[in-house]
Amino acid sequence: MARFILTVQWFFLLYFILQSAGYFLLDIISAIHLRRYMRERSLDRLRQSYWGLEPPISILVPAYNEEATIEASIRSLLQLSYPEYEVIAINDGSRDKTLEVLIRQFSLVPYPEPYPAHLPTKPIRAVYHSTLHFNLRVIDKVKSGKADALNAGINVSRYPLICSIDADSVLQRDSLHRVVQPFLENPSTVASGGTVRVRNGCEVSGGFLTEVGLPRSLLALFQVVEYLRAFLFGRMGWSPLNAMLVISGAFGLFDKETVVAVGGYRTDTLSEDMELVVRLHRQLRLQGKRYRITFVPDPICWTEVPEDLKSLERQRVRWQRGLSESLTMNFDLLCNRKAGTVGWLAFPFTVIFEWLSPLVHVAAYLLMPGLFFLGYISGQAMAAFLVVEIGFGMVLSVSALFLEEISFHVYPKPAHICILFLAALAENFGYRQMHSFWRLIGLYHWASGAKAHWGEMPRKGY
Amino acid sequence: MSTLDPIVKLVWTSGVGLVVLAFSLFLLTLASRLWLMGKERRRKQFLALWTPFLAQSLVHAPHQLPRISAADSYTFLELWNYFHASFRGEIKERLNHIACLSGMNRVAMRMLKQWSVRKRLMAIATLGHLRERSAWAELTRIAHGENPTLSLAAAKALVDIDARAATPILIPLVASRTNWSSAKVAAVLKEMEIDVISEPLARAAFSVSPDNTARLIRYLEATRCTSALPVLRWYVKQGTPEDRVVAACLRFFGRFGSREDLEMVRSYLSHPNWLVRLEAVRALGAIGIQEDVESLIRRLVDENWWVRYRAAEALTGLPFVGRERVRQIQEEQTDQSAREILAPFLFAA
Repeated sequence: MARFILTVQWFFLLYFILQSAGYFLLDIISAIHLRRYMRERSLDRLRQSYWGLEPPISILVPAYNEEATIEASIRSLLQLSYPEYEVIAINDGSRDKTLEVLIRQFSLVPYPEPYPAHLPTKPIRAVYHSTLHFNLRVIDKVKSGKADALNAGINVSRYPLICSIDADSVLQRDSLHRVVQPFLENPSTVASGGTVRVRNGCEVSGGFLTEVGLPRSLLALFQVVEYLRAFLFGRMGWSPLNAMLVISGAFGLFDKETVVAVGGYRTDTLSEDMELVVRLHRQLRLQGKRYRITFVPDPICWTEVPEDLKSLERQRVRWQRGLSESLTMNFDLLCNRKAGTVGWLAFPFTVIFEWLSPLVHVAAYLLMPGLFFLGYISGQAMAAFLVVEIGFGMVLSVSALFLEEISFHVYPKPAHICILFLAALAENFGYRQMHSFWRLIGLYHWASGAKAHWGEMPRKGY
Repeated sequence: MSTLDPIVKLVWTSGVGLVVLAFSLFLLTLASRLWLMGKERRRKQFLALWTPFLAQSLVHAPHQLPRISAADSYTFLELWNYFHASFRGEIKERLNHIACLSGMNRVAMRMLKQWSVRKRLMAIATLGHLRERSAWAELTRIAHGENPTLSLAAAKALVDIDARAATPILIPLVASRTNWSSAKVAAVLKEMEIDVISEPLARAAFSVSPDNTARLIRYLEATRCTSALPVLRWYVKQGTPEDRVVAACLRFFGRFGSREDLEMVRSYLSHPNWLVRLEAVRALGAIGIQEDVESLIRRLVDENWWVRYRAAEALTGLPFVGRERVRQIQEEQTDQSAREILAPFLFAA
């Protein structure tokens, strides 16, 4: 038994050391690149102008039962500042009045739209043009999920870059201008994604964010810290290595030709956004093509997060399942000799320290107290485990706050920093453990092949 | 258990270390925010004084200026460059006079040698706007440097100082630097006189790899260098250029060409590469004549959807093809997809 306990302790210790080392390294890379990014963009503040070589963009907005928010969302998209873009809303067989709202508010008329069937999709019932806004079109199609709706949008789109966004996303007015920069700076760019921030607690007017604030709900507050962590070092850290595996479905820009060439969005996964990015890496790496997938750290998209436990649980279970699908569908990227930093670094790291981490974490949460109560380990060992686990979580969260401070200072008041710090402490006492447990359920659902569904989140709207 | 004690101790120490690190990072974050707030307050005070003063100075040239402390010089240059970017003509001269009067030209020269990229960028922009010839050698050195942001800013400053003298430095850099933002390069080129850049840019376009040639032709297009037309015509007629270069040239002919280019454009209508056919169809839509209608109708059944779509668009856009003629063309089509592709253009007409 003593040998077993020793092995268990060594396993957990090594796992946590390697995980911490990995995250610290990402943290350092992020800090270096974030500072460089901020310095090199300092002149852009003087004058933001358009130069005439910006590639036109098709914005794709899949909508399912969005009657409460769709009008404001489309209106804000029509006010973005960018030289040439079109908005394509895709009504994915909504059961509510999403389509009627769009027809009424934007004076839509059916149009005999020809489009290439680059990607197979469920039937499109009709394509509408707005008589008020020349750059707005609406696709009405049979319900078949977000991925299929996006594929239909890609088929109907007219421009070389496609921007997928969620119907409830709030963008900055210059979001497209910022997210297109990697395409202008490096011709081999095939995708870029921006930072998504939590909208709860912020003031939104006319479809745009007017004042940044923090949510009152503790659950939403924890998610503010989580989003800072995920974007400011999770993605920023991998981007300079060209090994970023996720671009959020809430806001991402892609080269259409490349997306079509790899087969578009897969309809058999819950995480079509991540799967597409991993597949882009896999296919382009294995084909030996030069490409870049870049992260733009500017806060350009704001999204509403769940404030009740049930919706949050559903979301996290779905994310974990989506992560499982994205990784297993592209498993031949793992340690493939052509796969470079993605296959040898980002993919293995994600498999071991993110995909499988709920197994280890939940096992540790159960095993350590169990062994302690059975008298196999000392109180000192138990306390040491807790302190290192909590301390590590705190450092990661606070370092994300620090990265935010050296870059964008989005949350303006010192009180905001103090509140976020308290949230970063408090999330270690229950929330993170609960989160690991939900992710374990997601892993179980994926392994058992349980029926997948999106579920619905109650929205406050604008 | 005793064998585990050193491990437990190590874990315990690491845990405590992590907690201490977390609190230290928090205090650092908070201190940084407080420092930033103080800096921002000072910046606002400075701007509140200087923004109206600078605006007023543009109308009545001042003899004396309030003193600018070293700590405020960056903020001043930020404001001054913002004004420079916002105005045209004689006002820029007055701004330059104010900068020299306040000694900011010397400050910018010193800043240029500093380590901070942010300050160097500001110095480069300032010296460019000031047309500071004494900085020419240093700016040329930076323009050839590795950092794309600094080098592009320096190239722009050289253009601001003396566009004609900067051309032999700029064009080879534009041709070779693929890490410069294409849109920003186009902006720099647009600020130059077309006569100055047309010929060297066109010549450079054909002395680089096909990828870069296509990119440089896009610059010629963005800067509306119509005087590059003869060079492009000559190049397309010579030998067998790469498909993407031909496509870029056809695009150029479509925008700025004339009937003189018709024969050449027509010869690419059945090219094996669909991108070349697409650009030929678009060009024909812009410069085509009555006898090109049949060629465009034939492209309505092209194997590539985009060529079909652009052919329909080109056809319906020709000034001498009216709505009735389009309807007639549609009815004459035996191919379903050709009829469908014309439908929206009839709907819109």
